[in-house]
Amino acid sequence: MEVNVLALLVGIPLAAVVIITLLKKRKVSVMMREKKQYLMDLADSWQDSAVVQFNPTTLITEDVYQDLIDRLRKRVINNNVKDPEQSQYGMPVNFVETVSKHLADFYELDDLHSVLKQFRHFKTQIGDVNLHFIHMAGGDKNSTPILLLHGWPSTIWEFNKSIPLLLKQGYTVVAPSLPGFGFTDPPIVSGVSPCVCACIFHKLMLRLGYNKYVIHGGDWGAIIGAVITHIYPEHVIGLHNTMNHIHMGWRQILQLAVGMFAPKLVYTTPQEEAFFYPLSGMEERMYKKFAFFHIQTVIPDTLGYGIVDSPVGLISWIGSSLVLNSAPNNKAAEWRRGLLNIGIDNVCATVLIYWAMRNSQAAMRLHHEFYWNDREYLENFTIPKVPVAISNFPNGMIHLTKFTSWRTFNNIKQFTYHDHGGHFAHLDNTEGVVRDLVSFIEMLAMQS
Amino acid sequence: MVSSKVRSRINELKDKANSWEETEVNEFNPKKALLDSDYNDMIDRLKKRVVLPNLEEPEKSPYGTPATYVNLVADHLTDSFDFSTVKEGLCMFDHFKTMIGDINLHFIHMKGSEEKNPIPVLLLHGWPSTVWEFRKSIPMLLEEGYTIVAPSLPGHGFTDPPKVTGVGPAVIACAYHKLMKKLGYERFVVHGGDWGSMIGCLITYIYPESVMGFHTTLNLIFSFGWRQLTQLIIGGMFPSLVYTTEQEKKAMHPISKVSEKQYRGMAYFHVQSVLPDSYGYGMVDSPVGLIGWIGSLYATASSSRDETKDAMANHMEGVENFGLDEICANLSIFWCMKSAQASMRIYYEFYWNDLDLMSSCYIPNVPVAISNFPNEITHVTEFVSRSVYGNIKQFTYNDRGGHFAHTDNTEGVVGDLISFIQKLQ
Repeated sequence: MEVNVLALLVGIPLAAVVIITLLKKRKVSVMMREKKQYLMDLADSWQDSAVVQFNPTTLITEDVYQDLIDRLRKRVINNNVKDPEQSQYGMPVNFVETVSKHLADFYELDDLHSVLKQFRHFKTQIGDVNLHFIHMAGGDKNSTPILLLHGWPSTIWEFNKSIPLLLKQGYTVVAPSLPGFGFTDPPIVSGVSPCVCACIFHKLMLRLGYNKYVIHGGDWGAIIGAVITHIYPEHVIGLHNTMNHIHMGWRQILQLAVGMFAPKLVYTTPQEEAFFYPLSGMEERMYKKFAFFHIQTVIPDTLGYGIVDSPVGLISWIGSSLVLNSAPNNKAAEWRRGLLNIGIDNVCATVLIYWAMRNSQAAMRLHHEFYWNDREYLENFTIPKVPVAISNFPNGMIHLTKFTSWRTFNNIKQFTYHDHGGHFAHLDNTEGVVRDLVSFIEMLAMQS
Repeated sequence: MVSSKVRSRINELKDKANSWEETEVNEFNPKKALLDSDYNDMIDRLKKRVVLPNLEEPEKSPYGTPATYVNLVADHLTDSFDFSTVKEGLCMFDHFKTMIGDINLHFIHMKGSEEKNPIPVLLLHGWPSTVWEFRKSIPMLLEEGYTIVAPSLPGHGFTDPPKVTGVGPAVIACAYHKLMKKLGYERFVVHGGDWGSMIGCLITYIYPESVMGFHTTLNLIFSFGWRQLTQLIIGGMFPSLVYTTEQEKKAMHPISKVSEKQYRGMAYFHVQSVLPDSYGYGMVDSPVGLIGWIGSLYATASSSRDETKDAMANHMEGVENFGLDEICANLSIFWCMKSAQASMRIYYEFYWNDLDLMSSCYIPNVPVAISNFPNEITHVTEFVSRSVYGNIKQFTYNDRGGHFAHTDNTEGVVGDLISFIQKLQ
């Protein structure tokens, strides 16, 4: 008698949990299927449009540049701290002063123009977006096309050293500006979320005549690249990310548990270990790390007005990501190391492009679109077959082991670690990231 | 039960306050700080403003402050607003400055009637406000014969930001208490909204013997206890039994929407408690940045924030309640005193230093009054308020007004304060 009662007491709740989990999983897969279909239909509805040549330097004129310099010279700062190096509350005044002075007194507009002119720029209308992109063929008709995707708060400037290296290796490069970033104007309607961007970029590749291509991305580029791979796997030869994707699951939990007692068994780098440990400090670390994310997913425009209208506002905003995500531990106190790693001229170029195009505010809207439109989809996708390569850099934002990466990417063909570089590896470890991409593509070519 | 950690923090604060040197009190003229050159610089920058070429339908923007609002305020500043009203308005009062600890504290001090024994009232504003908020209320309170002390929060208006870190609400509470002692007031009434409410609560918590009564317009409960749980359960089934107003009910229902509302509502707090300086540069250097981040709040916090209406409609409702001139007055003080960046630091200091203290706050005996306004950002029932306040002498509901009640329902909030003080006598 007792055994039967016991069986019921354990069996019924267990069965309930299993059934609820299965029902939830079914609900999720229905949602994924419907969203995928919606996106594909949306992409199919976009009319064909001409591809026209474009010269971005015409938008960054001497007048625009001079206006920036004038405003920098009249900057109003009231930091009022004893130590201008003080970084407890965020970017220190010394950082803002250093970049402001460099931009006003040393940087030359020609530095920007001469680099931008090295590349061939185009524009084409896809859906609601008047898309800018670089398109250059490195080799012959059979050269592998690579779609290079940047993230936030970056621009195609990020690839200014990498593109020549890839072209020399004989690859074809397509590098678009994300909607609202760089030379792609912000959409005048809402709804252009990362998933929609994925469709836009796929459509771009088709329009240029590339039915199959390699995707390389960092930050939003990594996420959008993964979405393209999820929706159009038959078109993607391989996906190379410099920012891994966090999905919680049994792998993560197991790793956390084992890692508490035998971390060396589980983690390859100190950054991987430090990402989750000590567990007691995790909430605090995440609270600090994702403050920017919170504001940009809720009220990006509210913050954006000061960043569009004020050069020091822009410098601080860009610095807090571009510079700190190239710094050890991404700490504001390490801004000098970060600036040294990323290069002050790269910061100035990025600032100048965001200033001239007035789209720093719009660039933040992508986070808002992600949070309210794509979150569920991005929390649940996996890439089962397409080969994936992941590059890890010590000063990057996310550090996951290969073991936990399998939750999202079931066919990881390459998983590399570098001894220097951060979230913007194309700027602070160009050889490293390009080498990884090239070796990945060569590996795929050998296997096919 | 007060934990030993909290108890030792309180003792540490009191010791720190006792160690502050005695300093003199000097007169201060706000006209000398509100320079026309600074104001005109703001107007120039506004005329040359760069606002993102925006959406097809900017009023409907889902991304936060609509550009139409920013341009409305900017145009009013450049075309209509009269800055002299701010200078004249402030000069109706007597201003002073004194060094307390690391704070070069500005305050208004108006003595009440000499005949009676004037009750001292400490008026505490919050973020992003200044003593300007009390400019209509102070004369009404003086008429009742009270003595008024209204300090400026560090980094807001005429109190410069401290040069050191660590000056959070708890330290400020001790500084305000020291100020009252310095002025000769052993016991006083405390009135506050926003940070003024939190600081007022801390003064009452740390120095209960000094506080005759505490009147707050922002009801904010940090702990989640049996009262909240009971209310949630019963209120889920029989809301009219538990909630007096629609706002109280909507604050907790439906539960599924509460976390989304929290996420939206806490964005400012999160960013300001982590990296206030990083974003603040743009607000000190650009009046448009100031209007976007801070100017928007005067409107939204004075509106019903109706989710069925678009962003501009909500902002315009707030403009109607708060007043476009009032918005401009607040912004012009913040601009001239370059307050925007440093004012946000109080959130950082609170979160990393004072959260435990605030969460443990319990006021068993000091009489408390709470005023509720329909457009305020928090709505807590009297039942739940008792988890913090053991002696609620007055709990009122007003039919209009928001987060800045001194601006959009002066009679309501001042009336509540006066009737509370009368109850204490």
